[in-house]
Amino acid sequence: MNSFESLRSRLERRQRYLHGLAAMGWVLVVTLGLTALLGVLGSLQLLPTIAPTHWVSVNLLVGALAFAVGWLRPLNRTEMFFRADRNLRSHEQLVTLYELSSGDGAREFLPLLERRLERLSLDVREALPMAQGDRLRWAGVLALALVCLGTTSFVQLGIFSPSPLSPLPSEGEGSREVRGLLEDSREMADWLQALPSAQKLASLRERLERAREALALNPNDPRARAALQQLQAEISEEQGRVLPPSPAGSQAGRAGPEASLREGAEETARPRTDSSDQTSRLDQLIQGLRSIQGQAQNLSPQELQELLDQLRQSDLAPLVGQALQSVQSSAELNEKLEELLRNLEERQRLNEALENLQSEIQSALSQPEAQTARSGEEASASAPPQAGSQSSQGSLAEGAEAQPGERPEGEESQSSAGYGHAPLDPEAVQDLPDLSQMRERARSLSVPGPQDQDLQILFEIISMGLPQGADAPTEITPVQIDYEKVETLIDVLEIPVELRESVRRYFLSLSKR
Amino acid sequence: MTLEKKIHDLQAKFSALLEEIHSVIIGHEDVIRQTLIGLLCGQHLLLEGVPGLGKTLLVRTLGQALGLRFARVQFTPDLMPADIIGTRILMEDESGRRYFEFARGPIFAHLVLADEINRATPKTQSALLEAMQERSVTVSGETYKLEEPFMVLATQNPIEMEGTYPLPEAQVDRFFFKILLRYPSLGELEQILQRHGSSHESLSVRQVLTREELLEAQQLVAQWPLASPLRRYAARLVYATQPSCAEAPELVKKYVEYGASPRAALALVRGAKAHAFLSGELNTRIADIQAVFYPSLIHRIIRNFRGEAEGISVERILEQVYEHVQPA
Repeated sequence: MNSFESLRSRLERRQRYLHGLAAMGWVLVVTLGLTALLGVLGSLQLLPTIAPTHWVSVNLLVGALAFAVGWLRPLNRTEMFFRADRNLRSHEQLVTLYELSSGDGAREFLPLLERRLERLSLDVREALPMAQGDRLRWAGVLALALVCLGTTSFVQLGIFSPSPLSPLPSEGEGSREVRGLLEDSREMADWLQALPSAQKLASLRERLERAREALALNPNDPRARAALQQLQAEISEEQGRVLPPSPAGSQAGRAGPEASLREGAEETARPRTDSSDQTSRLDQLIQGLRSIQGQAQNLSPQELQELLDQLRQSDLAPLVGQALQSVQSSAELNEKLEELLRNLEERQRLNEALENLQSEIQSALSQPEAQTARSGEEASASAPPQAGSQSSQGSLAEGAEAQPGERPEGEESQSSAGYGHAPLDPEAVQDLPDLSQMRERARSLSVPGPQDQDLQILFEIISMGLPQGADAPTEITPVQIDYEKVETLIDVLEIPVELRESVRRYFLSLSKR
Repeated sequence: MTLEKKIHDLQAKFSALLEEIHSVIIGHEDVIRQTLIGLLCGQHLLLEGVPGLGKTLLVRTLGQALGLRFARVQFTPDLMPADIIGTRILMEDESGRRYFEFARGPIFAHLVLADEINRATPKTQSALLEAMQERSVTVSGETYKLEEPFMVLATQNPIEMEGTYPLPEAQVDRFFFKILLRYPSLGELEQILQRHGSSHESLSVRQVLTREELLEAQQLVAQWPLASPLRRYAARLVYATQPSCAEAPELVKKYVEYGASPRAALALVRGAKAHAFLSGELNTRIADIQAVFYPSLIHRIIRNFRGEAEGISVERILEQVYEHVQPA
């Protein structure tokens, strides 16, 4: 049974839908054409690559707007009914009915025609099919969308295939390795999520102060000593959370093509015995990430894919595996790497603060009553200046306020001659480039190289050790090499890994002044 | 009586009329249908065909089946207008007083067969055509209305040109349809021999429709629903016969001097309505327009000299128009 009114509303909806699709098709042909053009130019590295999420969302939005405009387009109902009649071969009954119902013609025929209409079998899709031109246009839209997908590597980066960092498991040994990698990835992801807060450190420090006060009143107070030992255990536990977990899978056979990563691979193959190993692993992870970050600038989709493949093969895979799953451009990769680096550096700072606390506790437990409080201060002063946590900032402030004549004994024991330079790792110093080599490398940099004067300061820092006390530069000039630039420089100048942290600390200490 | 029932009854009666005519006339389905269309539209028809094809028989049968007054006028060169219209004759009453009385001519019938109309002089032809157009006759200042239904079926012989007075284009345009009678097929000819070969007497036809019913059907057909896209299609078809029209096909532009007049468009639309009625539909269809396209336009296209010289037939021109102009 077809009531003309219901048929009319169905046909109108269908016609509006077709208008919407037609408008959408036209607009998408244009916008996807432009997107494809940009994609091609991007793949030729003539323009920056467009992220698939961006063009997809923009095209969808524009298409939806066009559809709405088409839907709201005024209808020519006479033409619509006439077309429906032609397609349904209904002998122009619909258009006649429409015109009679609109008051055009002899209305007494209207009920007769309506009764005839009830006997007709009507399908609105058959009555108003999509025009051939619209079909072709939508085929063009589809083709252009595929071109866009191809040029922006949408498929490669895991929308339609598994992530390059989580390959499909294969049979046998390979699959066991993959499973181990996935477990490591999950463990690492959990570890990255769980970052101890500065409040926790403040609470530990508060408890340490209370225990020290108790020991100051009674050096043999067993409760205070027990509290300190408890605190020591808790700090160890916190350090365990801050430092990276040991790899679960068998990683001995996995080594990346990157030289910097290979160093880390050898390290991670060894079993963890104490926190110093884990600290060094954290350092290596940071260095490895920085190395990758240096390579991940303005990559074409193909280069990006290769880099991701290398990462998958490297020992960094567990760390970056989950974070880089949805990466689709080098800009996103850099963003993710930056985020990971921030996390790891924060951990590094927290670890140092925790180590300071440990040494303070150790000192409090080992010193007699009169020296307990003083040794705590010394420990704080001797700790390298830190940034990023409450306790490290406190230590830094104490260090900064100390005058050359009031230097604590503990620090004197660490410096070569009280003032002058803090000695660096003698083994690492052997690998140092000389000044002429550094100058040569600086000249070959693609980024603006350091001034000769800055290069000399840098050379002195890494060859002779950190300037201390009066020898520390009072001028602010060297700090004008901003931190980011320093990071780039120490990477590009191939400063040995062991010395990089010292250079960073030096610049941080200068910036605090 | 409801409209539906009225329509149903009238359509049934016209179907019976068709059957009745077919019981006498063999073949000529299109001709009979077109004749009925002219009848339903109350318009005049021009039948063209060689002698002996049954033109007169068709008109007579129609008259009998409708119960209408039928008159036949054989047109000859000496036929005068008064022979058709009628004349005033001197009469004398019982008291001896003389007076003129109008003696009605054959045109006062319901169905008039003007046989071989192109044999009469233009003067006589004009008198007939004026009466056809005005549906009234004026004699000595007095007007006599012709009774409805009034329909003239004129025939002309296309092969005898000697001693004929071909109708001028303006006169031909007044005919609703020009119906071409083709020679019957072999099978039809055999049937004609079988049915009419044994007796000189014409077959009897029963009356299936009254005059009132015919008038009612004419009124109904006049208001038969026709959608605007179909009106547009009809107009486009007629307009495409004009050589100046952009949509006109190549043959029209090349070989037509004058295209069809607006009267042709009216004939097309009215004829389509009547065709829909006869087809049992409740609305006019594109198929109805297409069915009456040729008889409506064939006598209204005037070829230019080149067209005539190259022997381009009007049928061929119309065929191209028909194929060229598609329903929107």
